[in-house]
Amino acid sequence: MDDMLRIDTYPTHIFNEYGLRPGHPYPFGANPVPGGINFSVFSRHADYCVLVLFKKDAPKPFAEIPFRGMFTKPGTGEPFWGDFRIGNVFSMVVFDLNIEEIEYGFRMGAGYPKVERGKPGFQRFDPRSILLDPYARAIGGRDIWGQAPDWNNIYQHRARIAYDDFDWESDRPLEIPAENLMIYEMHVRGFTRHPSAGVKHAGTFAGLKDKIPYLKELGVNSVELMPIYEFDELEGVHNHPETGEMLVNYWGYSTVGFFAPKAGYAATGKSKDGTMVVDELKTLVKELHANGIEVMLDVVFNHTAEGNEYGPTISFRGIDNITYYLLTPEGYYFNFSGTGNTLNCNNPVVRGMVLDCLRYWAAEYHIDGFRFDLAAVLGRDQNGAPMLNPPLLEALANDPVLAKCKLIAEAWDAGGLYQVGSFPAFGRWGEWNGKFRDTLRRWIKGDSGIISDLALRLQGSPDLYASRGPTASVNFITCHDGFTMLDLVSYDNKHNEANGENNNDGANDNNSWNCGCEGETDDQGIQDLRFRQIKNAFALLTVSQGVPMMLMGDEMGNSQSGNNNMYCHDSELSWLDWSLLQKNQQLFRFFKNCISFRKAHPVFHNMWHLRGQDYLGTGLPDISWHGVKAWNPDWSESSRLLAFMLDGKHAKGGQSQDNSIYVVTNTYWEGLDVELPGLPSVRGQNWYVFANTGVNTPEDVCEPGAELLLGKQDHLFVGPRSVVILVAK
Amino acid sequence: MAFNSVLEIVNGVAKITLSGELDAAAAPAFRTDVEKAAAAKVKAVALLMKDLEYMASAGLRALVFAKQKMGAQTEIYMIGLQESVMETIEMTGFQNSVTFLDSYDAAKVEGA
Amino acid sequence: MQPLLVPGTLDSLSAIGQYVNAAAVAAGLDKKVAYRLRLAVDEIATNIVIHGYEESGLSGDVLVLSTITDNSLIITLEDTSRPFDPRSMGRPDHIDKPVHERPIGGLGVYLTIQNVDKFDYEYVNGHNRNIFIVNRPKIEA
Repeated sequence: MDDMLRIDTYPTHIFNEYGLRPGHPYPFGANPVPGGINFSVFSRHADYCVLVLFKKDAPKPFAEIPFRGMFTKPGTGEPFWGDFRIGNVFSMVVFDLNIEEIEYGFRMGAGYPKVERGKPGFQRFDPRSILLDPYARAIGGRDIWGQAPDWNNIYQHRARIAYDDFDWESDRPLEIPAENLMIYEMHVRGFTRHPSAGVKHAGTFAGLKDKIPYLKELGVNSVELMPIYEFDELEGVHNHPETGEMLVNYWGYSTVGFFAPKAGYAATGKSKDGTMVVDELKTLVKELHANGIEVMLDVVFNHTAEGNEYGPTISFRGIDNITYYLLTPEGYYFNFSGTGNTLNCNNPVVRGMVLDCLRYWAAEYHIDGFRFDLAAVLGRDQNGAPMLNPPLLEALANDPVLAKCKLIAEAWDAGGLYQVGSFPAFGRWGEWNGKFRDTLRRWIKGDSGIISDLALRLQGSPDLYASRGPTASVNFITCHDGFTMLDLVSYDNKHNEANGENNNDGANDNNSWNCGCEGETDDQGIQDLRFRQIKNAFALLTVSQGVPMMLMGDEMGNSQSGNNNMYCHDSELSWLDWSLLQKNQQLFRFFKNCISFRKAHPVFHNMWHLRGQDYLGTGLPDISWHGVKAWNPDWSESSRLLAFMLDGKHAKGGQSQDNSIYVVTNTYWEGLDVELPGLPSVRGQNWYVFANTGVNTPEDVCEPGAELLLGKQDHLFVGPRSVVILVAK
Repeated sequence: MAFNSVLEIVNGVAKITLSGELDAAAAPAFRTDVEKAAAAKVKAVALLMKDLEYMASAGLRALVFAKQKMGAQTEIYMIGLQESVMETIEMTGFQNSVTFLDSYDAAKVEGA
Repeated sequence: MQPLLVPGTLDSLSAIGQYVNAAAVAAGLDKKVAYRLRLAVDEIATNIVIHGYEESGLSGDVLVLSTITDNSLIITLEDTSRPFDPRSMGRPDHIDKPVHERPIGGLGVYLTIQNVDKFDYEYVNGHNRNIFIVNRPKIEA
C-alpha cells in the first residue's frame, strides 16, 4: 500500500508559486498534513484573512496568501475564484512549505470603524497588523530571556510550527491521588538562575531537570510551575525611578500564546526551533515523572498580554475583539483581572479554545494538573456577571481528556468576586484555600479569637468543602504572591520600594509578625524564634487534612527582603540563592522530615471529612480535640493552645491502618504543661516524639520511623510558641 | 512618489508646480492652491507638470472647480505634461478647455 | 504578487497604486498599459473609499489581489461597502462640454472602463468585487 497516495496531497488552486487546496477547519492552528500544512483560524467578524509567511526572524514576509481570491487552476492556468472558508473558520492547505524554516501570521480585515489607540471599540481590526495564531504551538520573537527584540519588526510574537513526535516511551501522567500530593510552587527561571544553582543551563527547563534529585530528596511529589505559556518578560519593561534597575514581567501572568511553552525558559530557545523548545519541556516532564513528581501548570485564562485600550495588538483583539474579550457597553475592556482586560471565557468559541488548550497540554505534554489563576473570572458570563453554573467550569470538570487532571482554582478575581468555599466545583475542582493561609498565619503570630477557625482549617475546612471533602482544599501558608516564609516571620510590613511604586503595590493584610525587629538582625534570640515560627507553620501545614502546597525556597529560608510582590524583579532578589541550603541546613532537614512523615502516615490523607466520632468502634474517635487537659480543648477567645489526636485505626475511614498521631500547637509566649490523652490499653502503645519545634536542632525533628520514646507518657512540656508532634507505636 | 504642489503668483499669473502622484488623497492640497489662485483673481493659471507622474480624475475635478470658480475667461496652461497624463486629459475631453505648452512662455502666459 | 489588505481610506490609495504598478511589472506590461491599469484601479478604489465607505458612514478594508495567467493580468478589488456596480454609470454625457460648464465628477468610472481590456463587477456575500483584466503581451516563440 506504500505506493498509494492520498488524493488530497495535490493542490487544486495555485496562487503565485504556491499550491493550495481548501483546508480542514479542525483542528485549529497550523498542522502538518501530507505534502503541506493545514492553516485554520477562527474569526466571526473578519471579512478578509490573509496568511502571512516569514522566514525565521525575517523583518518582512516572503509570501502572503489570501484565504479568498482569484486563483489559477493547476495545469491549465485558468483563473477562477476561490474562497477557503467554512462557517467562521478560514482554512487552507499550503503545499511545499519547510516547517523548520517558517513563521506565520495572519492579517485580518473587516467592515468596522477603525479604532484609535486608547479609544473604546468593539472591533479592532487593522489589516496592517500581523496577528499571532491563538493556537500557535511555538512562538518566536522572545527566544532568549530578556534579550531586546527589534522593536520595529512588524511581527513581534511569531507563530512557529512544532512537531508532536516526542518519544514518551512508557511515560504517562502519574495520576497520584490528590490526598497524597505535596505541591511545590516554583518559578522555572528563579529556581536555577542564581549562579549558586550550579547548573549548566541556568534558569531553564533543562536547569530545572538537573535539580530533580534535590526535589526528590526534599520529598515533594508535585511541582506547580508558575506560568510557562509564552509571555513577554519585556512587556511594560521600565527602569526603577531611583535605582535604575530594569523591571520586567518576571512572573509571567500575562499570556501571549496559550499553546506555546515560553521559549525564553528553554535552553534550546536560542535554536529558534519550535520543536526543540517543545521537546525540552517534554523531556523535563518525562524526567520528573520518572522520579515520581507530577507537573502542574499555573494557567492564566482570565486575561491576555494585550492589555486595555492602550495595549498592543498581538492576536485576539485583531482577530475578533468582541468574541475574545469582555467589553463594557461603551466598548472599553472590563478589568476583572486587574491587568487591563478580561478574556470572554464563557463565549462558546473561547470556551472551546480553553478546552482545546488544556487537552493539548494534558495529551501532548502529559501535564498532571492545572491551577487556574483568578479562576472566578472563568465563572462570569459575557456581561461579566457571576453565573451559578458556568459552562466552562462544567465542561472542564467533565472533559474526557482532562478526566484525571487536577483542577485547582484560585477562587477569586480582581473584580471583587471571592468564591473560596463556593467556587462552582462540579465535584471536581479544588481551590487555593485562602482562608487556611489567613487563619494559620494569624494563629502562628499569636492572634487570639481564632481557635475554632483553626480547628476547621486543620481538618480540611469542612465548613467550606462539606460535600467535596478535604482534597478540595489546597492548603498553603505562603505562595509566590506575598511574603516568603522567612519574610513572614521577619517583617510586620511589606517593603516593596524596589518595585518603583512607592510601596503602594502588593497586599497590606499579610498577617505577619517580625518577631521583634523589622528585617535582618544579629539578635540570636530573634533569629531562633523566627526559625521556630517557620517550623511551626510548616509542621501545621503538613499535619493538616487536604493538599499541602509550599513555596520554592521556604525550605532553605529564602528571603525577598520583605518584598511581597516580586513580579517585576529578575535579579538576585528573586532568584533562589542555593548557598542558603548549606547555611540553613536545619530548616531543610525539618521540612524534609515533615514531608516524609506526612507521606508515611495515611491518617493525614483522608478523602472524606473527619467526623469526631468513633464510628468504627476502635476506642478512639477519628479526630479528638484536647487542651492543656486531655479531652478538654479550650475554645475560648483567649486560648492559644490546641491539640488534636488522629486515630490510626480510622485512617482513610478505616481502609488504612496507621499509627495514631497527636499534635499540639502552643502560640502562648510561655511554655505550658500539657496532659496527654491515654491510648487504649489494648493497643499496648506508647507516645514517641517526631517533632518538637521548642527544642534546638537536631532534636527538633526525627527521621520518620526513628522517633524518640517520650519519657513521661501522660504529660508533656510544650515550649513557648511551639508545635509538638507525637506518634503512637 | 509623494505629491507636492507649490504656488507662486508672478505678474498676475498663478504658477503651480506639481510633482509626484496626484490621486484623490493628494487632490485637496492641489485644490487649496487653486482656491488661493482664484482668490487672488489671477488672469491665468500655469500648471508646471513636468514632474507630475500620475494624475487621477480627482486632479481633473480640481481643475473643473478652478475653471468654474475663476470663470471661462481665465486661461489655464498645462506645461510640460508627461505623455500618460496628457492621455488622460485627452480621454476626458479637457484638451479643448486648456492650452498646452512644452515649457513656460512668459510672454504668452503673462501677456494674455 | 502578494495580496494587499488595506484600510478603506484615502491614505491607502498610494499603496494600492504602487501595488498595481508592481503587478504590472511582474506581468511584463508595457509602461503605458500599466499606467492605464493603475488609473483604472485607482479610480474604483477612490470610489469605494469616498462613496462606499466615507459618505455612507461605513468603515472597512479593501483587499487587492493580482493574478497572472498566461494571457492576462487580473487585478481584483474587494470591499464591504455599499453595493455599487460601476458599469451602471455609463459614459458621462458632459465629456464634450467645455470644462466650466461641466458638473464636477463622473469621470472616474469612465476612465476605468476605457483603460482596461475587460472590467467586471459582482456582488457576492456582502462583498463588492471589481475585476480588472488587461492582456499581457504575447511572447514570441
